[in-house]
Amino acid sequence: MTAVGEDIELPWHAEPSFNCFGCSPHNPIGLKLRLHRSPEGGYACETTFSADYASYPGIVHGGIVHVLLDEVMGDALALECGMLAFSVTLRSKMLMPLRVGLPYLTTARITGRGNGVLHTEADITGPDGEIHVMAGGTFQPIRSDQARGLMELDEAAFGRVRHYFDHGTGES
Amino acid sequence: MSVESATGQPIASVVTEYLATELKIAADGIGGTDVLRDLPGADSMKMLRVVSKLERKWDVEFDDEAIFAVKTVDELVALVERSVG
Repeated sequence: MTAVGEDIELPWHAEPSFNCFGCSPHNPIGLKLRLHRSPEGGYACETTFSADYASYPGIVHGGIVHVLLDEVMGDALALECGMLAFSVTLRSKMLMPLRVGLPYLTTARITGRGNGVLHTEADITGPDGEIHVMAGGTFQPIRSDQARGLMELDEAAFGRVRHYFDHGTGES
Repeated sequence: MSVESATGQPIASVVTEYLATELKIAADGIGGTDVLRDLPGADSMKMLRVVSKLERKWDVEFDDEAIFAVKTVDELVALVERSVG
């Protein structure tokens, strides 16, 4: 297992058809987010956005902030449970704007599961130590028939990634 | 009878505890009729952070307009009680 604080090689990056806007190192216009295990449990991602991702001058676009939240919560789930999942609901409280050019730490963890969905939380903390965004996410594990229907994977590619699908959520 | 959290702690005392922690003031110095924005060190960001923590504690989502309509500690307690009950 990767040590706390060390960048994690996300295993699905080995699959050529995966070109995730949030995490793929190969997507030329993507965010190329890197995760590590958080010492407090869960996963974390350090990010500094340039002015290319601004809304108002000097302020990071809220949509980009939600890509960050969605990605880190979804990746935490995938790394912890070995499953890929669709986000069903994202909720956020934008307490303070994120500034362009400053480093932010996003942390995410799984908080519950039941009735076919998993629940996660994420916080974005600024360089001043203040929480800027508090978020929650609900995710649904992807079934293999959904993956086949939506992801345009050929048989070989599907065979390589099928272990990510058809997971239960573990509730009793 | 007061409404309680899953741990048996009355909602009013959880609200007071979260406010005290966020504002770094003593919980016993916070009264039900106190106006939130007049509490020492209070600002809208800190109040929203308390609201977010309350939503997480009970896994509920408050209506945005209801949040911004809250003026006092008692009104914040009532908002939680309506959502939890």
